[in-house]
Amino acid sequence: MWKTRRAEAEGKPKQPRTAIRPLRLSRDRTYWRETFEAYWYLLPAFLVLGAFVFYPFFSAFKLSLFKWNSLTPPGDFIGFENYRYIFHDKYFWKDMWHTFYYVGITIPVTLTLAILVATLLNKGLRALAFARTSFFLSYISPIVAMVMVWRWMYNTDYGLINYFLSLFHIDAVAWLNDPHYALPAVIILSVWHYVGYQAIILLAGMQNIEQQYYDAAKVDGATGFQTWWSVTVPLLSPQIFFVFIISLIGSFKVFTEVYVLFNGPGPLRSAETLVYYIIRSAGRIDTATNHTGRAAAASVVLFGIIFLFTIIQLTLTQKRVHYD
Amino acid sequence: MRGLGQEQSLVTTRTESYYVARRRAYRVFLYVIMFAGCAIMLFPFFWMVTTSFKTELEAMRMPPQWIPGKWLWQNYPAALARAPFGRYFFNSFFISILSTIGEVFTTILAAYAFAKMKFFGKNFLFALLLGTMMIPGEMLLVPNYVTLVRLNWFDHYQGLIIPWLASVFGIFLLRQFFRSLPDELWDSARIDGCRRFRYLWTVIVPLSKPAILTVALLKFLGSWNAFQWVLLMTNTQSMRTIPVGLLTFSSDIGTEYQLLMAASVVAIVPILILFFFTQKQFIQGVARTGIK
Amino acid sequence: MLRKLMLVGLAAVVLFGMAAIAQEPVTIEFWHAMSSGHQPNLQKLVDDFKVAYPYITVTLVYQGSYGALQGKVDAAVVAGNLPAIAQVYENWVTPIASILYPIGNFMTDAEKADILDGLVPSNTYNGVLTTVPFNKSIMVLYYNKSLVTTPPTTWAEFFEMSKALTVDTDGDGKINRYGTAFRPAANPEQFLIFLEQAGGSILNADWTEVTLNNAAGKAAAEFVGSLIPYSYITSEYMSDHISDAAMFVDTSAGIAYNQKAATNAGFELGVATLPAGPANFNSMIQGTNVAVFNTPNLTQAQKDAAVLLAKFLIRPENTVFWAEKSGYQPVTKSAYATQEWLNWVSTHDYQTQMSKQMLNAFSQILHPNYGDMRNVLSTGFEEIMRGVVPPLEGLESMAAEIEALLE
Repeated sequence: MWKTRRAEAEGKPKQPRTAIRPLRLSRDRTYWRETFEAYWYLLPAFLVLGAFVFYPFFSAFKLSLFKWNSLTPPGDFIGFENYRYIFHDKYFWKDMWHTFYYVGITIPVTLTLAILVATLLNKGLRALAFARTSFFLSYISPIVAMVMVWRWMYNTDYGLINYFLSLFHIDAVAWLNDPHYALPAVIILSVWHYVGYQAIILLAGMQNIEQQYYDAAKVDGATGFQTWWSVTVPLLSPQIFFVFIISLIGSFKVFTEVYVLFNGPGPLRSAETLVYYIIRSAGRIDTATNHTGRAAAASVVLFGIIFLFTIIQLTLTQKRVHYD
Repeated sequence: MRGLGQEQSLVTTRTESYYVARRRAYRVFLYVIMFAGCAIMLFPFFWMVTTSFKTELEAMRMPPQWIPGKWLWQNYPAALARAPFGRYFFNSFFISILSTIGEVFTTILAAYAFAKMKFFGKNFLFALLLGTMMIPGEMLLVPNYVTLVRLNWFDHYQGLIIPWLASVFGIFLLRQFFRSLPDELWDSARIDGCRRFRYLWTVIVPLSKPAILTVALLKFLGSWNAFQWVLLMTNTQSMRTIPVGLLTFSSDIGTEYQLLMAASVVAIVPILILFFFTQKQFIQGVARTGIK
Repeated sequence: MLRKLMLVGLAAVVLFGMAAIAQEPVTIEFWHAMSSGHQPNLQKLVDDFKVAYPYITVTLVYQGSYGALQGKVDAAVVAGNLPAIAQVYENWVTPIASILYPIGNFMTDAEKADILDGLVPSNTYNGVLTTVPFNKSIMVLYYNKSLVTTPPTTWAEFFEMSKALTVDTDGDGKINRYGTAFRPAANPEQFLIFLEQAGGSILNADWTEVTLNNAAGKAAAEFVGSLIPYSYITSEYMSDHISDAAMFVDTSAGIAYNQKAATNAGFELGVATLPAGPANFNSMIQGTNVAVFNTPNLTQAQKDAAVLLAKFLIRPENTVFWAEKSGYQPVTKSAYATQEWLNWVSTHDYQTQMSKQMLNAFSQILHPNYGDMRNVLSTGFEEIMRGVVPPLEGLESMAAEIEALLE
């Protein structure tokens, strides 16, 4: 029975038709009148975004075609030379690979854990407000506090993680000083940092699922796991999707976690990401010189990648996501 | 069950108590996991609070000394004396509140248009909007600096507030919420002769309080913590905010952890109070962000 | 007659008074990146300056970390609202050297000659002293006093001691404490020091040729290579790894943190000059200078005032005050001879060594691409020290990459 309900819900048209259907001619006129009105609604937001986001972005795009010179900005026009440079820079490709590695592991792991945490918190346990606040606190604690604690967790000799590993007779790992473990260390830190925030969003979604679906599942004799898998997860798909998109965009832009953990790009630049590359090129790290044009070119490439992934995701998931 | 023989009943009772015990054990197990999770999540916060009472040597120790040998309350006045935190608090509140109110206003309008109105270029504009979330913020700083200087907003409140009066994330979030509201509401309001603008503010907004509160809370949090922009776009002490004050405890050689943490505890309190009082609505608001 | 004299006197007073009034009040901004621990001392210097030049008001503007300050200077160059004076690293301003106001032109030869020899080249653009040194630190040798009684004075001693002090205390086959330590990615200056001590350099004098991989460079690379088995390699601060090495080369500015870490670890830290290589025992100076800007948003009066401030900051009493309070090193020769400084050194043992090292020092070259070269060195040096490439091979590839940066 609960399966039928789901099917019904899926087949249901998304938007009910409006009760009033005016004539075609007047509809066109309403359309343009509505367009005019809508533009007024968009105006305040777009004025601000136009001046402080779109305009600087297009100027960044323009900068990617110039050899930056701050004395006579934007400097000399050099066509696609900046792009040629970064595409021939082996560190650009390494950083690209690190970024994909990071995104490819962080997102599924965080999301899976977040669903499990949300499920746990949805068991009707007491002290829920406390748990929620703890998860939120970890999200708002100052980053330096976070880093200090994690530096201890990762400490080769007295860190908590190596202590747990030793219980399973696994040798101590030099988390912060071994090129093979640097990126995993960033991933673990990120998972920890974002899992609470994501879990809160998912938990809220779970609490919004109507009891009738669970009742129906019970009638059909579904076990706890079956109910979770066939009711909770599908009905949570809009939240999962939202969290997925937002965290995908966020993870591609990973920088701070790397920088604060290693105070640099990690041993042998093994945790250097694309945004790290951009910020380094722009001369904001150590004493690098200012290659704003290269930084702009790398930003444009990164933008293209995220954009592509978001589009693919939007089209792929649009059909699968279950809307209530 | 009552009609069954004694023998069977005994078995049943045993099974029941077995199940009760098993369920209890399961719940205990869940509590253990939950509290373990909370403990891991709370570690940095715990470290932050205890460190704010440590001596400098204790704060640097590795492995960490979790509990200070002596609780140094004087770290608090010492930290707050390092920068004009009174003024910073005022500015943080002033800027955060104004930009939150302003952003909520622009966001409601834009999100409503994207959620419920049909207009020319809608998909294009929405894609453009989402696209901006993908730009690394570092790239926008220098052009924005130049813009602010030209507008003469540099080192003025305008420059700290107006550029932050719109947020794509907020529009995206609120649009998702508005889309979940039934269209019938507008149809009946229209029959009653209600103008759309009035309908938006008298019907839609009250219905969407939790979502709007969510947008507002996240905005307030973001605004409260912002430092890169404030640092770049101001020059005078009197225009700066709390996070800039926190920066001054670190140098390229090291950080005065005990003072930084004392000041951080003070800085985080307003956010905690805010979350504490709004968490219920906040959760409700977030709950529907994913709903189309 | 008397009346006449009085009139003349009055006229003279009026004229002098007018001359004094003619010094219109002027206000300048001084951008810096000093954390709040240092700020009161910087403010004291500025207050003293106000006493000396009552018509000039200096507004200190904290701009966050060095990275943030650099970002702000860059943005201000484009927007045209630079301050009169700012704390800068050499390679921030090499690309914009043409808008620097040459402070040296307003200094006497004696004043210029007073600046430490090691600091002159890195403040001189096209033969003109342009910026002046401000907060300077030097790389010195730190050592664990309970393990090292006499610090090494030559490369050979350094090698032998590093080897002897590398131990596996618990016999598990893993080294528990190394003889020395390096932070190659964060501090490629450690390699540049060996290069200098071997008599080498990155480039030749007129920057037309890469000399990194000549005989001296090879000697330096082979020496650091020989230290690999006895070196702890990290990119974190040495204060976080104080127990991992018996002695290490680190900046003098880190003394406070290194000492606290040593106290926590239960030993005393000593400071020595660096062990000498084949050519010398020179060390590298780091830290910022102050620059005065010559842009249209600044009036002549502001630039003049900024020059006065820059000169004021390197007066012996002031550079000594700043050094005592901040832990940086005095920047002029006369400062080292003041009674005040001698008193300070006599009560701060480590300063004797740091001062000696300051007088035997070099600083970075002002090539416009130095930032990129440093990145090459940082990556290449780390690859050598972590054993990814053999030292000489690593040296050759660094040289090749730097060659490409010359064009």
